[in-house]
Amino acid sequence: MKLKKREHRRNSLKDLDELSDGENPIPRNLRHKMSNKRKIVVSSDSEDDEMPVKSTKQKKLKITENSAKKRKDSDIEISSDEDELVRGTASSSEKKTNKRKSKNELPAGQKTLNFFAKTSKEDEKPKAKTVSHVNPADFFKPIKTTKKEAPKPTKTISPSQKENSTVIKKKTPSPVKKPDIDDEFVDSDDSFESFVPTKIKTPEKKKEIKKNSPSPSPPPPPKKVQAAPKKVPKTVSKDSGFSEEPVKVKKVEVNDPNLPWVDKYKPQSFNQLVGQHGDKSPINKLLDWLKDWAKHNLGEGAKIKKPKPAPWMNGQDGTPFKAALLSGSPGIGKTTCAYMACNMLNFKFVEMNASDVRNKKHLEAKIGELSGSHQIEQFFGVKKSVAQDNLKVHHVLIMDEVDGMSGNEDRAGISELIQIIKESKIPIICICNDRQHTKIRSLANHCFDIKFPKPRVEQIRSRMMTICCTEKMKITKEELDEVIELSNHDVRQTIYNLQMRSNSKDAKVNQKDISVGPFEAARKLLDSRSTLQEKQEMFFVDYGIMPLFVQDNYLSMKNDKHTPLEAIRGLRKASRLISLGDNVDRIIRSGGSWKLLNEQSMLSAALPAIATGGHMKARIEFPSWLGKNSTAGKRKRLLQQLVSHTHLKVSASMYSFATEYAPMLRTKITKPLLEKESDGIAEVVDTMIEYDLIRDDSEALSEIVVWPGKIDPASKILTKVKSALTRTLNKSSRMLPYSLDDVAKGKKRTGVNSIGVEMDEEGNLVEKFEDDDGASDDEEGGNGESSEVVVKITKAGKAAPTKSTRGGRGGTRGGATRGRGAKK
Amino acid sequence: MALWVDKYRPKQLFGKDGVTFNLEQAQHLKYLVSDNSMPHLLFCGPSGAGKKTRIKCLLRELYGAGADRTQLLVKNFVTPSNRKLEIQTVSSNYHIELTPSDVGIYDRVVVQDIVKEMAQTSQIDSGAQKPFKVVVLSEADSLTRDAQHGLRRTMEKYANNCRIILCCESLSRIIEPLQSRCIVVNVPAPTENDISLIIRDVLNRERVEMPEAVIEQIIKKSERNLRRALLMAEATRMQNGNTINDNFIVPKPEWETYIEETAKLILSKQSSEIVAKVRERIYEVLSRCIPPNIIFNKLLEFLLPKCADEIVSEIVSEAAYFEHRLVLGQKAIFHIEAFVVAFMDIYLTHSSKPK
Repeated sequence: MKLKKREHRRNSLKDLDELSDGENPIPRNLRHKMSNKRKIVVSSDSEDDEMPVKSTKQKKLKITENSAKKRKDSDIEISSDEDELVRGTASSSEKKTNKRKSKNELPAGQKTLNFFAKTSKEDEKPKAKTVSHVNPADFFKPIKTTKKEAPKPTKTISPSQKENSTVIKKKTPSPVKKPDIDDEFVDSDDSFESFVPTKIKTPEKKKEIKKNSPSPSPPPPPKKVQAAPKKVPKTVSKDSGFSEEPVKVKKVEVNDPNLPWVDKYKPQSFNQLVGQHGDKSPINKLLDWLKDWAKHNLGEGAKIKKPKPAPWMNGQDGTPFKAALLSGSPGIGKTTCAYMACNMLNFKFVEMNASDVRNKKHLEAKIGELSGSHQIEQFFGVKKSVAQDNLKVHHVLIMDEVDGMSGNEDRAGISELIQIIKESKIPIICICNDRQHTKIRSLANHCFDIKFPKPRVEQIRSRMMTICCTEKMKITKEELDEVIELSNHDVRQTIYNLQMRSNSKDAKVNQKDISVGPFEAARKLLDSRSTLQEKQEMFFVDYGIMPLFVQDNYLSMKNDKHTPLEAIRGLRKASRLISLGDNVDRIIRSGGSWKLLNEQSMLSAALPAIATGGHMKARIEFPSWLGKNSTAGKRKRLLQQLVSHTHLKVSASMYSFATEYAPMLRTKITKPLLEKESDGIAEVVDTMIEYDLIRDDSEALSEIVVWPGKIDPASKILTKVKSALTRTLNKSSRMLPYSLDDVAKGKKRTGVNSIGVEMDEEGNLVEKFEDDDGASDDEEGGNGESSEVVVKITKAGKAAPTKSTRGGRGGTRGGATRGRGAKK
Repeated sequence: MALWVDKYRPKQLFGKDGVTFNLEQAQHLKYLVSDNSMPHLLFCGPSGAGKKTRIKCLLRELYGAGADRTQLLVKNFVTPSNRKLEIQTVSSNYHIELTPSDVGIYDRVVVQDIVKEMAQTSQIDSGAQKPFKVVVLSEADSLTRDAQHGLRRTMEKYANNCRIILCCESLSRIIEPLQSRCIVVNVPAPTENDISLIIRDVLNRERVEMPEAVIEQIIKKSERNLRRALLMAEATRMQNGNTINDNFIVPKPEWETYIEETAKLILSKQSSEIVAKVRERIYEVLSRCIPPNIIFNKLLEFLLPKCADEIVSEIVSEAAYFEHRLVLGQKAIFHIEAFVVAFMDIYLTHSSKPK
């Protein structure tokens, strides 16, 4: 198919060429250039091609052959020998450039061309000529026609062309010198030849012109020429085989109507990027960071130790970091920015994306060798003739889609990447979507954090308008805005949608399915503009947390027109609904009647949001209920423990303990210490023993009893008194009727035995300790006391804290337990 | 040393150490346990009225001093969803005491597993002891319905070797079938006179002098809760030593002061900002394990005096309404806040009405 198309194009070009000078839109000298190139290709490609001037038919045939061959070659290239290709092009082009330098003296204005000239010398020369003779504006204008003209030279050749071709032929030997890479070279050359002019003329150029047209003074033509070349190095590096392969194909067939607009209108220059024009825009940050990278990380600069900022400051200053992390939602140009930044600074880059295996081993092998700058030179095949400057950055590693490093394949990829970043001698740019992902978070600590915000509608719109104009597609501003909104500010998606629209007039743009986070959902839910139905839908984003969001935020919904009375009335309605919603929630959860969820959505979320009659005036807060609830839960556990510790003496339930006992108990154990200091210790210990309290309990007590705004009396106790108390407590041997948690953990099993009860003559439970060590048994104690603990255990020193018969209703069992505990 | 409230806890139903109020009822209790036919019992009464004290005395009456030899045990059990939970129990040879509501919604499992297991094991030495054991379930009113239903059959089936004593504050939350299986022992709160007598007795025994006015204050502020009265008395004594002024003002508990401040805040201005602040404060109170229904009571108590008579009934009905919802619902803050906002609306409407 493609071949045919090409042929067809050529045929049509033939026709074009046959036109007289007046009719032909292309300047004559330009046509020369094209034809020259074509010739070169032909000549260098086939051995028997001695006479470029042949009958058109023959030529055509050959070309088809050639192109078929090329196609094959390029396919092979793509799949396999990238290195070779690179070396071939790079080295040969370099040679050529050097040669050319000596030979051709270019006008001052064109010196900028040198750096992209690396690609192919043949391109260069004619172009330079073109530029010098032709008004660039004329050159760029007839985009499509010029594009088509590229292969035109296959046609009848004018004498002047012949001359030209021979001149160039002389130069061609340089690529031929390396016959093994000849094909590849030619191929790349060919692709260049066909795309370079188109590149320059690609619609963005047009756009540029268009952009400029309204402005009073269009920029001077030479500038444009300079801008255009800039794109070339990019393609070079892309073609050098490490970047995505489609790039090449794309270039070759720029005028293929099937090419997605997304690729067709890929930003080629800085000002084509969407939403990157501000001073502080992500790409500027990236550029600054890249520029200064060498200064900070190589040579002397590396020896200065730069303190890493706190994690939340990562985005402020990139100097301490060797890597940058670009994050943002898909389709907003992170990857493009990364490429562009490298191109602008003229760095070569190596990209690894999710299509490459990136597990630890692989990364180690592949990148480890790259990041040392010497090795990477070999890799790129750059000759040592260029004095190696260790204080400069030559290459950049772009790790695309780092959040895709997961699963079994890429195991430990991130950690390896972090390791590489630490040791890297080249800047590394990581790109991810989800900045908050747990894996990325560890990476983010080592990276200059650059966040790409979603571009605003206006920002996308201007660029889309240009595309629409270029494509001669009619769309109103409103429609366009709608498309952008529906695509959720995803530039790529928007362009796709536009293209679809252009194909079929009334193709409906579907809303991009977006996963709505709870915050977004809550925002929408509480937005006074959304409909009841939308609110309900948002509730179902997460029916567990939405009621909480509503409850936490409905107070911030205000209406300036409301009187205080109206406002409070609105709140009353809302809070009443919320309260009812909670009841429904309870019924749902306790009875499993999930059919009530619809009702709950209305009561807990949709209706309260409407009932207030206000608009959201503050930012959405995360439900504080969750935090408060966990605090309450923690305090409840503390209290429960307190209650259980004192259970033998105190009959109060948990709540009355909290309200009545707790304050009193706290006074009882803090006051003597405050007043009598060390002399009060005895008293306090007495109380604590009486109520079976331990040290932790006193802390729990003060946590429960202290109210905000009140000073905790326990905090005023002198430290020495406190430690004296702790010492005394540790020294005092006492029995606790309960087990301590840390002891309990290992002994869960003991609860099983509940029948092995030993009775003494009174029918009382006796604990008999059978210490393996033969340690003295504890005596059953205190018969005279009214209520006492049967389980008596002394502390066996610090190492073995108080043990007890956890779950040991069976005395013997409990004894055995203790025996084990003491031995530890 | 123990607090007064524990130190002077009555040890017997009758006698020198016996309970000092509701004597008639004590006699009934003594009669109930005199032979081996003690029925299931359901103690109900407000906090600080002496339910637990009576249960303890009862157990002592039944089993003698052995019932005092208690220990804390942790019972493990596994829920149907394979969650391992534990519950703390206090037990002697003759009885076991536990609070199934400690484990929240799993109390049914506790009733099904642990209580049933207790009930099924019979005394080995039936000659010397009573032929039954006693299971004391405290806070029975916070048992879920399921758990209460789970108790029904157990109470009947194993009645010959196990008696169950339920202890609750409100009878209304105990399902009818359970009530009908028990003898309900209502323990009313002591009268102010009772409290006054007890406090004086305790003060006497402690040899502490306290002015009449202060004792009166304590009695008033204790709200007929004997436990609170005694604790307050001791707190007063601790703060002032032996010399207590006539005009000493017995402080309110801190949490009560905090709620009072909250009420003042509500009255100060009625706007969403204040609601937000109140919410913050209510969270504080809730997180310190003050039961939500007490928060309702206290708020109402502090709010009502500032309200005009016309709106009092409306406010009380709102409070009742939301307290009911609170019982039915899950998240206390939602309902308290709804009440606060409702109150604000009523209050503001009234105060902005032209007079």
